[in-house]
Amino acid sequence: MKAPKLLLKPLFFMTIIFGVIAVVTSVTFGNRLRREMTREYESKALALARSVAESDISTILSRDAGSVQARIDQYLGIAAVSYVAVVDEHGDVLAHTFLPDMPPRIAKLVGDIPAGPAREENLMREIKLDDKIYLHVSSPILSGLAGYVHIGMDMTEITRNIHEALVEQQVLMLILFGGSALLVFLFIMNISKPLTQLSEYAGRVAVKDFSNVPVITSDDEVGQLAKAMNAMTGQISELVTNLEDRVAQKTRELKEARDELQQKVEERTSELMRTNTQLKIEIAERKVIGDALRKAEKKYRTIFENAVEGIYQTSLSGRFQDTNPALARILGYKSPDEVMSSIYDIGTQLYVDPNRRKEFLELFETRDQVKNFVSKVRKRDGRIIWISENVRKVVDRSGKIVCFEGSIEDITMRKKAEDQLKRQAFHDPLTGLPNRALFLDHLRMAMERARRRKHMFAVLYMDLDRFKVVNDSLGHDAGDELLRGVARVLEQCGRSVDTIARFGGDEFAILQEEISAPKDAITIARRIIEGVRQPFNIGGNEVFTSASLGIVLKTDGYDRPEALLRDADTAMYRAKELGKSRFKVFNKKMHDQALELMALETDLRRAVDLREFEVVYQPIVCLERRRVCGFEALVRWRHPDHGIIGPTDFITLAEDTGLIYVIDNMVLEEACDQIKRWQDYLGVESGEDLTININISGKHFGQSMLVGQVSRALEKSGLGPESLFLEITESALMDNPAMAEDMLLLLKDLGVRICIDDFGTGYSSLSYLQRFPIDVVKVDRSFIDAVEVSADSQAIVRTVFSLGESMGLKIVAEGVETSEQLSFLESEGCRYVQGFFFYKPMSVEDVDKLLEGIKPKV
Amino acid sequence: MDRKRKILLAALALSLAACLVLPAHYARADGDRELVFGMSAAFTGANGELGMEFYRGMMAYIDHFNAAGGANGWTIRIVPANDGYNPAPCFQNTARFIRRDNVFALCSYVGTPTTTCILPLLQKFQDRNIYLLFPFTGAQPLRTEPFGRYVYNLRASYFDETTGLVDRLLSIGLSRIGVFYQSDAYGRTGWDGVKRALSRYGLKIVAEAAYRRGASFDQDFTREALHLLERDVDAVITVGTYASQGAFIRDARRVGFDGPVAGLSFSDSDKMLDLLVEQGRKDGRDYTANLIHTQVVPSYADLTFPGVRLYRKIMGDYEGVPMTQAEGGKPRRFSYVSFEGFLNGVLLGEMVRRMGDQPLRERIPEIMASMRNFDLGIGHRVDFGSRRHQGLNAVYFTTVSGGSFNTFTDWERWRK
Repeated sequence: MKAPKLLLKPLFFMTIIFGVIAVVTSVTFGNRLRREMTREYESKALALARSVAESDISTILSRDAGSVQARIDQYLGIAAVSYVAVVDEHGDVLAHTFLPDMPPRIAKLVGDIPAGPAREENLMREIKLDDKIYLHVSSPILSGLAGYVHIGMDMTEITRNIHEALVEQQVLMLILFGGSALLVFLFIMNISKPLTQLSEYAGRVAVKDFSNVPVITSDDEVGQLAKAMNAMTGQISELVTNLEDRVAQKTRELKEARDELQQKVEERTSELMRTNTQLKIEIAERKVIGDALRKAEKKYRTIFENAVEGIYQTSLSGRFQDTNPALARILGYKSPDEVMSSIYDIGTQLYVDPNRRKEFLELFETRDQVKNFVSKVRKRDGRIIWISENVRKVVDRSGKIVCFEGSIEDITMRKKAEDQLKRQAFHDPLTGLPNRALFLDHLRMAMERARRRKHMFAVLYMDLDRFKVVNDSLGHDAGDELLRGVARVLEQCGRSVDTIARFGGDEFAILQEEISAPKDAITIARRIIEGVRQPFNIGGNEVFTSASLGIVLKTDGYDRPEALLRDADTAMYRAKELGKSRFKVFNKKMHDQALELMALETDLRRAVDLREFEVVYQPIVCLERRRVCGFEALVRWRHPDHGIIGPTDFITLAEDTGLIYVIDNMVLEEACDQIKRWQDYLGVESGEDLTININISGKHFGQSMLVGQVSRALEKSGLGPESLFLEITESALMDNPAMAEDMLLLLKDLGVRICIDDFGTGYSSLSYLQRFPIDVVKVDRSFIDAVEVSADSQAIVRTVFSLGESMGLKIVAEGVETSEQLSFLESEGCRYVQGFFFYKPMSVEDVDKLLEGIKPKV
Repeated sequence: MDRKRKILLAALALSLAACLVLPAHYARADGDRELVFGMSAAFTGANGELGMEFYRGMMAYIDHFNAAGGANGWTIRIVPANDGYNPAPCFQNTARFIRRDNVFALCSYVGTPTTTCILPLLQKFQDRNIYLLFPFTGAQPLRTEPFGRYVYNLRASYFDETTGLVDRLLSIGLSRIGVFYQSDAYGRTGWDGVKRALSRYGLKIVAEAAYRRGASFDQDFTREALHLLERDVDAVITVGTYASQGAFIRDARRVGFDGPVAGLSFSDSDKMLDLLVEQGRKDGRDYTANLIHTQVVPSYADLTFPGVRLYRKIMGDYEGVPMTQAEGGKPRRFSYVSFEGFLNGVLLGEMVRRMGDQPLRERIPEIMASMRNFDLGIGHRVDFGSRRHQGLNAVYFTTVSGGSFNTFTDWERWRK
């Protein structure tokens, strides 16, 4: 910041004033200080001298120089005291503090004892010693009679003090001066700054710079000046600016116009020349190209005209711009011209779906061409066909669509074929109903819907009750006819939203959607049962059938449609078990039972692997000789958790799971081995003396492998076939009598014997006894139980025995528990008995003991 | 080297101070038969080694005394305090001894300026019977009224020493005597002694040079030496400490003065000799010639005295006091100063012995008065009395022979 010139004068005057003040105060202050200090020093020196002279008078009198010295040494510690000396009345020095010796001047001074009478007054003088001034005070001791005390005060101390004080004062003065100068400077700056700004501004105005008007807000004269100047320059600036602007603008306009004109003339001249030349070249070129084009055009036009596919060019707005004859043909028009004139909006006139054109255009927003764009279109005569288009868009340089070029193919035939295939894949060809796959698909969708919103649906599983009989008795065609009939019934009973499917065989499933309450499903189930129960007219015969239904109402909580179907199936089987022609709703209990069964199945499989089965033997007693003549092998399952499980509790399951084959075979082999051992033990003469009865499950009996297994068991054990009795139930024989007959013959060929188990419980048809090669009949225990109380039972038992006797069959009574039963049986001529009365089923060890008792002693 | 010494001395002083502060109350309890004596001396500074040497000598006997069971079961404990040869600390030490430590008596103070400044305290506490026993100074104020009555001196006064010196020097014609002295009560007393002795012959001190107390051996005294030399002095009597006197002798010899330079007993002649020998070795010249020293005890080499033999016997075995010299390993085995300290101890023991089973402060004058013609075994008998507080007056003149100060009688060598 440059100091303003205004500052100079005040600063100059201030310097002078402060200078004068400083000099005057220094002089007066210095003098005054000197006076005061000198006075002070004098009185101090005097006081000290008196103090020595009077207080130490005794030591001085005793001339104890050491003590005097000790005393005056202390005075040296007092400020400004330079030396002390004590002399006696003769001027002899008693003690002093000079180092190393008393200066001669002082020695002379102190040795110079004024003659004459004793003096009281103190003597004060200034002496100069080694460039220093001392205030020398001499004080008499005992008025000079005992000597004098001399004390020297260093006057330079005073000078130094004055000097220090003056310096201090001048520094203070300087600071004051500096402070004042700063204040003045700020004050002047305050005035000069706006003035400078204004003057600079005025200078700028002179060169027509009106910007940066200084802002001066002060209220004083400077402020007023600034305001006035502002107003003035404002006016001037407006005037000048206006004038200048106008001149400048006009000048500029003129210049621009001239330049433009000049440039235009030049451009036009050169352009004309160029064009001229180009035109000449172009004319020549065009001639050549024109010829070539005409040739090419002709070539491609031929291809275009003769193509099988419809080829076209359409505008963005949906009008055909060019087509070939094929396109006209496909769309049912006579000529391309007719197409182009008739169809002006493809979107509404051609496509069946009004949105199709929009979709078409949308596709082109993201790509350049579209392939296999399949749509339904209306032909000229109104028929609807399927076409497939392959189109590309033609764009100009800016990317705007100019037109579309593409081809059309009539794919109506292909489309129909596809639909047919699709239908075949998901429908049962016999009934036309959806098949299992489609059903599962619908079911899955229904489950999804149910998950998303409250949507109730039910699944019904249906099975015809005696379809097999119909099929077998009336033939497959009749069976198929029946199935078709049932399908129609189901369609009538179901609603349009329901899915009715055939799963193959006589199994149907119904998916009931959008039901409002469980009873809706029940109602339909009832209608179905009722409908199926009506006679069907098949090939002129009235055929009756019935259906069992399983229903799942509580369809939430399933993850997989298969699980849902499985439960419906379970419910259906339960319905069948309960007696046919009815429905059963799946419930929790069934679910639990199913689970239980599954657990048991798992256990059973494990049991087979771990051989948890054991065989026990119940002796068969020959009543005539009262001795054991054979055994029935019975299987037991030693379950690790549930203990011993009898065959009734697991054989059904084993049959269902197919494990029965393994189990039966195991029992077969083990029992054959065992009986052979016992025969050897007893040393029987004939194999018929000790026989073994082994139960064969009905299901197993139907399997051809049984024959092989039996022969292998015999072979392995070495047992004679005459000792082996295979026990088969009535029902096993009667389920498929033809097959049973064949099987029995095969077994008889091996030489084994056949025993009918539980005789009297099944068909009770005695005719089969004749038809099949049977050796033994076992009377069912239910009859034996009842012989004591029921005359009917007695009659039946009696009949069986007489029948057996007449047919040469061996009759065995099972379940004999009391002596009454036994005596009745004996009276009826019964020869073989089995039951608790004699023996319970026994383990191998127990049989060993038993045989030990009856072994003939050799 | 010198700095190292200072550090060690300072450490020693601190330990001494600690000894002093820790047992805060030196009670003369009935169960504790021990008499406590306060000793303020210079253990550091320019005169520090003197104080230590003195203390060592005394403690040699005190330990011996205590080891023998003391007297009547009473043992002596010396509480040392360092004053650095300065009056103000000495005054503080003394006030503390009296007021806080409740000492039995003060003993063996070292130095004139220090000791003279505490004299008023003795008067102040006269109702408590505080006495100063055997200070190591020959200054006059301790021997005259008004304070002399509270002090018992064993050694001869500086007046005795200076008078002896002046008499001898004059007898061989050396009449122009110059004085180099310390500018304080000590120096002034010595100066005064010389002046008085000369005035008996109508003579005056022809030249004098004072120096400030506290000067070390390193200080330059050339100006002072020249000042005296200008007056054509025959001999110089110095009243200073071993350090300043040694330095003066060195500088006087350097400026060409080879007349006799005499010193007083206070400046530890043995120590000073060490310094000069050391300096001589450095400078390659002999500073030990023509030196005279007055002593207030006989030469410790003079085995004719039983006191000297006892001293040498006890001192020779003495190891106990932790007064280690900074350099040269062991401290000097024997010295005039330690011998004087030793004699102080003997006298202190004797005093306690004479107290019998009733050691009381108020009995000190009575006991001291009873010591008449007491034989320390040094040729002269100690003779106190009811009004006599000065035990010995004997002054011995020694000069350097065979590497140490030894008594001599032949002054003719310096005759002019």
